[in-house]
Amino acid sequence: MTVADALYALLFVADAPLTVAELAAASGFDRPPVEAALRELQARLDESGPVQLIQLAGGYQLATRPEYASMIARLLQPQRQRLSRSLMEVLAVVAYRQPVTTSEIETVRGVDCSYAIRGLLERRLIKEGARRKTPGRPIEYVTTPEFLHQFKMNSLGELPPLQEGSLAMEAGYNEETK
Amino acid sequence: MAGSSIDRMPPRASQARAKSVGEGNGSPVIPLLGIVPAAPVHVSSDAFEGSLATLFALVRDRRLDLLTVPLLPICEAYFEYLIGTAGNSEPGYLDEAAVALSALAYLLERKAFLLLPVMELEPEEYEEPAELPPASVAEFRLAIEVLEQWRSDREAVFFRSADAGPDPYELPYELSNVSSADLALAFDRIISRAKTLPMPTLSRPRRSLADQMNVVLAEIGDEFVALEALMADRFTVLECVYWFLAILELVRLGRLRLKMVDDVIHVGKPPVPQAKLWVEEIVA
Repeated sequence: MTVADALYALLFVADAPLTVAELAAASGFDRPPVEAALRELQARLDESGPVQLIQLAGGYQLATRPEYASMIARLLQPQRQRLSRSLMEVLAVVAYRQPVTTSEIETVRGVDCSYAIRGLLERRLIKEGARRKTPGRPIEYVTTPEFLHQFKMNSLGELPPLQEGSLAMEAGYNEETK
Repeated sequence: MAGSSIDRMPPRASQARAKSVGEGNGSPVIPLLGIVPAAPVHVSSDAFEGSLATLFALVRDRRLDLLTVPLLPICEAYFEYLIGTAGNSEPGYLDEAAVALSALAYLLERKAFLLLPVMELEPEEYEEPAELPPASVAEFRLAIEVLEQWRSDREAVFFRSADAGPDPYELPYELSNVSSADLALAFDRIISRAKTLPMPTLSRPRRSLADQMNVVLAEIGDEFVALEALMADRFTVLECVYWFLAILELVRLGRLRLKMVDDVIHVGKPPVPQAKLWVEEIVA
């Protein structure tokens, strides 16, 4: 049994992304060999087969290749949940400016955002963070690992860059917030 | 040169009071409506020429700049008027002088105020209202497009389980050959078999006065008893009211009688009529 095979087995049964630390703890191997084995497994799966190993939401997870999507969709008949334009706008503001309060989101959008925020909370794409230590102690909103998962990102650092000099950039989105 | 003088005209006050009440019959003269014209002090200056009364009216109505009118000659003219009319025994003379003095005092006060240095108030500084930054959601437009594309790509990838993580889809329910209408019908049948919940009593249950009357009759034997001794020792206010109402109703119906014995009300049943006893005896 190789380390890569052990990790493959763990990833096969996992229903959520597994971090290197979780894989190391479950397999009993140290982190360096686990990381090396993950790279080996990723390369092996990329060579052939319908399954790939992808990095998502800070971990690793097995997934099918996109070319098999149509037949899997015929089998599972998934009902897609579309995000409206307003939800996407609020989600983008939260993603780039987090932690962010409702009033700050509304300042950017210029309209009331309570409905959109509630919708994103129900979809678990954002969550309530700490309360800001300002008058009124407003709730700060941050994105969740589910957000990374649904948008196929490993971390917030993969967010597409905004236009140079934009207000969002000036508002503090930098490498530290990623 | 500004100056003031005393009119040589006869005092107009006497003309104005021509119709004073009681004039001619020896009664004291009372000015009509209490209006007394000012003394005929004439004011003559570069800015104004006329009587003191006119000056007063113009200043009061803010139609004349009092700073342009010197008041010293007016005061001198007033004193001349007082000196010249000294010993005047004409009725109302003092009133005229008093009115002129009041007008002069008013002018002096107004001018004194006008001569006070004016405090120049610094213009208040108003803070500019905080200007809200313009809505800048357009800045995120390209990022949103990229995110939507990534989400679309993500939807083409399936994972180990549909329940694995927050997948952007959910599987349809498996209901076999049962439709939602069948489920609704079954639910309706179950509901129809359900017991209704007992309604809790929101108020004290109502007692019948007739029942209470029977209780009272049962308590009272052949002998008269004290009314206050009828009831048990412990009773509520409501029970007391019911007892008393029942006794009153029985008295009204003639089935109970009251009598006073040693200042205590006694209640008892009336004697049975002799005829009724005969009937009962015959029947028996």
